[in-house]
Amino acid sequence: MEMNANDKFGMEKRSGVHLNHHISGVSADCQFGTPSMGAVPANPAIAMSQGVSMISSSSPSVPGVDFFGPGLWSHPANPQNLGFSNAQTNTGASSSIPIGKPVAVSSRGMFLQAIPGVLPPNLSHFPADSAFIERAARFSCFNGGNFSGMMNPFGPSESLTPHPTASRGVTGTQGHKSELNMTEVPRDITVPIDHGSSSGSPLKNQRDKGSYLVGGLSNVSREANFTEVDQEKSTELANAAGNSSSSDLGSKKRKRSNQDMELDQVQRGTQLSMENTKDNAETEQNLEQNSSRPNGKQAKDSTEGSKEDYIHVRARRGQATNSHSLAERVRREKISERMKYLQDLVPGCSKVTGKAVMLDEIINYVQSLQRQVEFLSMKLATVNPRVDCNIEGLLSKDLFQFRGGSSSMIGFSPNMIHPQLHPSQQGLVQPGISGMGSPSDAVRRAMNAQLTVMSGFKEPTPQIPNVWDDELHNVMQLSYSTNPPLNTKELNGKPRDGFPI
Amino acid sequence: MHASNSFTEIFLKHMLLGLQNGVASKNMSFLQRKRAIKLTADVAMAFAKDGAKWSHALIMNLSKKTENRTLLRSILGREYERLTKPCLSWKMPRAKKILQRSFKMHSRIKKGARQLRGVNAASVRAGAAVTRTKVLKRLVPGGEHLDDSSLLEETLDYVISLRAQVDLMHLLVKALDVPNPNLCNKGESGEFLF
Repeated sequence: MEMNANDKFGMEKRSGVHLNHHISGVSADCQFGTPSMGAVPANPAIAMSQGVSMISSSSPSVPGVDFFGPGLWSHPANPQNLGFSNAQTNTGASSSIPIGKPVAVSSRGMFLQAIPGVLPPNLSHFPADSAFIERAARFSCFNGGNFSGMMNPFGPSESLTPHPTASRGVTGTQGHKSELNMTEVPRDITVPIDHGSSSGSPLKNQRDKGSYLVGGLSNVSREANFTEVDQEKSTELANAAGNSSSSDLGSKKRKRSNQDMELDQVQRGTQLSMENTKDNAETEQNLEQNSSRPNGKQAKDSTEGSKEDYIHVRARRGQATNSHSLAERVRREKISERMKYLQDLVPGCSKVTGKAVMLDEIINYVQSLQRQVEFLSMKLATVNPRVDCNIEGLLSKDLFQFRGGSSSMIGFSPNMIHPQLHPSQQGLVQPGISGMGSPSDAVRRAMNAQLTVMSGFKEPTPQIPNVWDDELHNVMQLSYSTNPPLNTKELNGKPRDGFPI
Repeated sequence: MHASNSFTEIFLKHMLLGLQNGVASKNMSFLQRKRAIKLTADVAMAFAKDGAKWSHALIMNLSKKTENRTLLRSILGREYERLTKPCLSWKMPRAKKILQRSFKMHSRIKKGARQLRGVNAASVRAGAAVTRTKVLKRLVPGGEHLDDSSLLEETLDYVISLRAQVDLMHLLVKALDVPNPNLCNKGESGEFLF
């Protein structure tokens, strides 16, 4: 399969040629389980021959990953990659790991070479991080032994990253390469693995095609740039790769690759800095926001962006790498995060999924709250408004009396407009109000004091306190139950005084 | 999520203030009273939460009606002028809106090119979300000029405050609504309350 000519990556081509010999035979076999891979197998595989052979040798038991073998190798070309990415995105493959997949495929420890950027559309069934890491590990092990020679050619190809047209393909290949080189080549090989897997985070950077490949590596090292998920993935991958490779190949290569990754990162950083200035800001925000995003979501998000942008924006394959899609992805993530908060807030919405239904619930809830306010204001209107005058008096009085310890209330009381210390009216009422954090007995005392001041109301006095006590307790219970968190401040060490207000 | 303590305190304080000034000892019809109480509650709530867009918008909306102004002034005091001044920063969302609109058109065109419009499940879902977003924009004060994500943020804030408002008014009602039967025994309950 000398179709390497299609490769935009000169290096890859060379290596591809090298591999093709191996792959050609394998390609036919390797296409299992990848319906979308039809186009891929046609292309010469750039991947390391060993990978191919491994793939071929490995049983096609691994679903979905099998396609990596021939198809991945042969298809560094952008159009193909694009096709795949498109297919991938179209199919909504949740797994965004273009590279890692093949690695994990072979359960025998065969390391499929993750064909960068050539993920078949049915990646959706790929497991998320753990599998990817496993694959990456395997891949790295595999790479160490086989591709030492081939790694180097890929090195320069990485520098080709700023190739706009080849960006997609490059990403794929680079990712591919990176995986291969994880252990050996001092390039950003590991990054592609991360890139593939960690696509979840909103990578904005990808406006520009350059820097994609490097992104893979940079991802690992540039944790700060990625959203948390990506970081996790990258770190996991790096760790996994490191662990596996060290065990298999020795730690030397790994260290080298790590170092190289950092170097590459620096290079990439400069490249990306221009592109990603704006994205970075958003990325940072997203970092905070999207830390908890599920992997699947990330994968989906990453497909929106360019495939090659592994550094900041986890652009997914098959997505336009224009600023609009990236920004849209970021925005969508923000919205989903906020919807999650709202889900917690609106009662009974934990099971509801989907924006429309959730919005429905929110709207209903807001409307019901507003109606409740109307109803309560109506109810308050029926209660004699004159009672309000006593509220302040009682409150201030109580505050002065009882709120000594509570700074908040102290701050409150002086602000009372009308410190009506005299029960001008029948301030019998507000056990609830006066109970604002004040002990019931104190309130009662205040009430009684006011009552006694009032002339002619001696009779009810003995009984009213009882009533008020009950009322007070009711209110306190009510307030306590409604706003338990608010009680913390008001509590003066008396559990009963849990007045929410 | 619950409203903070300080929020509730300020809310209550201003609510009582407003009630006292606007409602107490005034001869108003029932409906007027109810409206005044609601106004007081809303203003107090908006004032207590001064960092949110909806609060500002709410106060501005309420101040548009002249009959509310006096009450507003009494409640807000010094802040009245500051809060009723239209926020100049809201001009920015217009540019954002234009951008959003153009982007939506762009994405819509793209989607339309790819798939049949109208019958597609995705488009139906998207349409449902869009209509509901419009409804939500109408519900949340000041939400018309916001984009989706900030609209959701404001809704979140607004829901928390609304909940606190409802709870507080519940308490007020409970506090002020001394069970008449108990007091009526004395025959002076009415006098106590009224």
